[in-house]
Amino acid sequence: MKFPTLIQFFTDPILRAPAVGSMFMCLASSLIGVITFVQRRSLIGEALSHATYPGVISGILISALWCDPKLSLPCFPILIGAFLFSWLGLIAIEMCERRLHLNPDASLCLILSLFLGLGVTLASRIQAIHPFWYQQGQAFLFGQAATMGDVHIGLYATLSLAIVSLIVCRFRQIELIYFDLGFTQSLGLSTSLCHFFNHFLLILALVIGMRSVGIVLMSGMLIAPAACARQFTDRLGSMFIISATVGILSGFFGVHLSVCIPLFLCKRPLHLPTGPMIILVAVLLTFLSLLFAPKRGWLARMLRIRAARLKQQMDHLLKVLWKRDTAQASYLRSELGLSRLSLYFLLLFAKKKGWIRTGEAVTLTTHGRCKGAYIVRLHRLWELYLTSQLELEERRVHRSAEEMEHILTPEIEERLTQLLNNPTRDPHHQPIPRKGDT
Amino acid sequence: MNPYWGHHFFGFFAILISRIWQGLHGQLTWEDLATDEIQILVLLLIAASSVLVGVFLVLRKMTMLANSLSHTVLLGIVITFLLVGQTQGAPDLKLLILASLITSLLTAFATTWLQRSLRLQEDASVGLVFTTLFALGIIGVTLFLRNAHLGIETIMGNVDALHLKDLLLTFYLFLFNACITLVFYQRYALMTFDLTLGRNFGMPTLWLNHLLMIQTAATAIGAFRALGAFLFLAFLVLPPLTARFFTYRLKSLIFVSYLIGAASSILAVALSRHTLSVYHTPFSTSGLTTLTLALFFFIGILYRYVLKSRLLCVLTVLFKRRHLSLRVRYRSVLSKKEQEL
Amino acid sequence: MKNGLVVKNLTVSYDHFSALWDINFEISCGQIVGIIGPNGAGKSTLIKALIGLIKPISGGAEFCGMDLKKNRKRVAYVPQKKGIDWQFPITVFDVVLMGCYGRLKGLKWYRRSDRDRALQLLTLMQMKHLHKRQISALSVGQQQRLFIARALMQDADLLLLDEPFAGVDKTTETLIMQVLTELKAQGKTILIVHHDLNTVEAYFDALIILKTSLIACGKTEAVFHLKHLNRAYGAKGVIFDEAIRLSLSRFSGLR
Repeated sequence: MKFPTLIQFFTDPILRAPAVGSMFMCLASSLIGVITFVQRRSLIGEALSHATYPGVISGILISALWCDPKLSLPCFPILIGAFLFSWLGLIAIEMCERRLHLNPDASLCLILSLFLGLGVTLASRIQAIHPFWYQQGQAFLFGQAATMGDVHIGLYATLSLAIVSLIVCRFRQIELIYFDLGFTQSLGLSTSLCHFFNHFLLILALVIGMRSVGIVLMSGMLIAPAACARQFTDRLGSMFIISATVGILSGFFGVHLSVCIPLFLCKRPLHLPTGPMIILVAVLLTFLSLLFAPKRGWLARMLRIRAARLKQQMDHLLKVLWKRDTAQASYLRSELGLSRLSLYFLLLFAKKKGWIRTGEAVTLTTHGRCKGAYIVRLHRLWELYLTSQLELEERRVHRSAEEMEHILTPEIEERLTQLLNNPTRDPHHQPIPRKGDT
Repeated sequence: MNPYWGHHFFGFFAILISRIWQGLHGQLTWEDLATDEIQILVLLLIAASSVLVGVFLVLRKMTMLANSLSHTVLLGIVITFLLVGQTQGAPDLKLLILASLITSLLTAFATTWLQRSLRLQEDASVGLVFTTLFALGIIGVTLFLRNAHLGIETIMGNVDALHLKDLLLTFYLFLFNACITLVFYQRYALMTFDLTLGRNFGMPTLWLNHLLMIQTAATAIGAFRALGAFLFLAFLVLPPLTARFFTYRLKSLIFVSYLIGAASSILAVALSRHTLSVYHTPFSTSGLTTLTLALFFFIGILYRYVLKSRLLCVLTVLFKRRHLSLRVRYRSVLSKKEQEL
Repeated sequence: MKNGLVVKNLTVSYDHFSALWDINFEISCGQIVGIIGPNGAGKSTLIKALIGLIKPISGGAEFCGMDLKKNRKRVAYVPQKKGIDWQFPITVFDVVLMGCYGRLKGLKWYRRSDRDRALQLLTLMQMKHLHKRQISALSVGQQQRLFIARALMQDADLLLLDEPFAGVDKTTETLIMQVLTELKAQGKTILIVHHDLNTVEAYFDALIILKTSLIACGKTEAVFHLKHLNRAYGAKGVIFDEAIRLSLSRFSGLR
């Protein structure tokens, strides 16, 4: 079996609709997802998509009465029913939070279970009576992207266009309202229209996206691209752009992998379910960004922590050497509490920086002596500041100084020197190295 | 022959009371239990277990985490069915419990890890974990069970197909929950109201958290057959929220929640029998339970916001402006006199 | 009074509990006015009722002859910092720019002049080097300066500040008071909800003492004395504040 090329996903009539349709659907949901993400209400997608279930069932009832099963058009009664019930659910959630003063978490769960229960009650009625339409309704629960047609591409493209135009035209207002609602209200601006449009498009994105990804997984499509985007930027505008890119990529590669992986594994023309594959690609990208994003990623933080710890150990080394002039490696090991290997690398690093000389024993160079003196100066200045200005006891200040000697900047050192009037002795009557020695 | 067959709503209660009377006098055995009665008993026990867990979940604002757990417990059950069910038929109960415990702990750990180490927002971490695991579940099902599709019954449950051994299972579950809650009650209560204070006292809050999650997962498994994976959330969330309209103290909260849960279960079974007999339409009892719980919730709202504040205050609110402007003028005259004195 | 803030019969009530009761006062333009009172006296509620965030049961406010609610463009409000999501993806510069949103027309995109003015204000607040930082990286003092810069951006004639000096270091406090004094010289009116009785005489020209109802309103010298403070804080609290003031003045060598 030949693997379909990337271009074939846009040209081949069977592959085109799922691929392009999913890309537009993911674009729409990732943009709206940014808005729910910054409000810290990501789980509202979960609650609202479950709330559509009774709507789906009512739509099935109406379709069974009026629609022709042979038409392959998107079942409009089902979509409209889902939309209406989701809207009802949203109103109910707002009322629970505002009027009944319920916790947002509890109100989401309440509406979720309530509407789902209603849906299940209705569904039990339909199951025996209209089995074909019941199956169609099942498609909404888990999604069936593979049965999408070109009509769906048009539908999703229109939706994405609507969302993009809303965001471009009303970007500043969105930023203002969702950052500081009180300020917006104090300006006297009406926020209800913007809220209405955001909610409208959220529910529209959920309802239409459910067809391809399914009720349960739709909330993932709202959360993952936004979470991924947040890792890379601190500005809302860039967040929209990155989220859209991640969404489109996961939409495309979800479909791509759902076709190619089975071909690869069992060499049969079998398709994996597309919805879950899209979610998995999106979540994988998010996970990678959480780990490896520059500045905010886990790896970057770990490296920063390691760098700080290394600096701390280096400062201790220089301080110990300054006090004793020269020391044996074994003494350093016990004094600093390091293993043989760690000490070896520390000494190697210090030698590379030109601060020590190794040989029989470890000694400081002049450069290293200056650096050591500086650390000791900061330590003793801080101890003096704590005892004289903040009136702490002498025996308590050492630990704080041990921490602060690595942190104080030259500017703070300058202010401390001025405040304490160029001191020469610390609280323990030890000499403070002068500025010139460092 | 089911003694409840063909009876309407009030007839149902009449027969129920007479059979309870017979049972108390020793004229009925366990094997004589009708399906409706088994349903009632199972739902009563599930309500009891859920209330013990649900009250703490609602108060600690962890209900969406419980929702996430219910999705992933489903995954665990499905995987067990796949791995074992293919060869042996229905898998052993202990395996089910084990699989669900593993997936629930996995969910709880993953969510906490995303929040703490990777610094992701709380709501986003909950959402991401369960959608990933659910997606993996669906793919697993499709890959390994090519012909089957996830039946709606596994998710929605089927109260109407319960047997005596389900009763036993829910009874054990209730015992399990009751024991843990009895033993850890003071710690749970403290953790709910002031987590920092609990930590200061040296309570292992993290482990107690996970214990609560394990309890939730166990309740999910127990309720699975009857209510399905998603609807037992209604039992977890609705009774405590309704009880909060009537009381504020923890013990009475648990008690009132149980009363509400029990009443809804009995009502739901009665309604289900009624619609079957009178209208000849079968409605799912699990769905009806949610609706009766919602009914009690609305009664609670009515009580708290209308009756409790007394009709007089409602009228005052309606005519506030006219009424108060008169009071303001009177008061300002009074305060001026006060200043002169 | 034609010019200035006039408040008549303002009453605010939540359910059955009155937060403010029959507030009447007049303030002329070009002053820095302090609003003081014990906890729960309704100081923040007064500010919020003036700006229209809370609906009063009766009464209203007028600024320079026009109803305050219809005149929002001339009022700037600096709220307390609770309820701000510091992890929101927004930089210091963007927050200051927000201030001129009310005056934008059409597609509501910021102009070159707006951006220049924002940078100017950040320089005035000594925060120009932070303008690209995300807001969670700021200290408490810098956060307060940021929101004051945003209020300045609004170019308003009436400024309402809710506890601007809470938890803020001395340098920031001095800088903010400096900026506000310059604004006063330009003829703007500034109302500040304040909690520190020690700095009242130094900062404010006029004072409003509040405890659900108005206890006193007028020039600081006339109004800031024992009788009114007793009625506001209760005699117990006043002795403590007196003692603190005495000890501070003694240790710094005054009197």
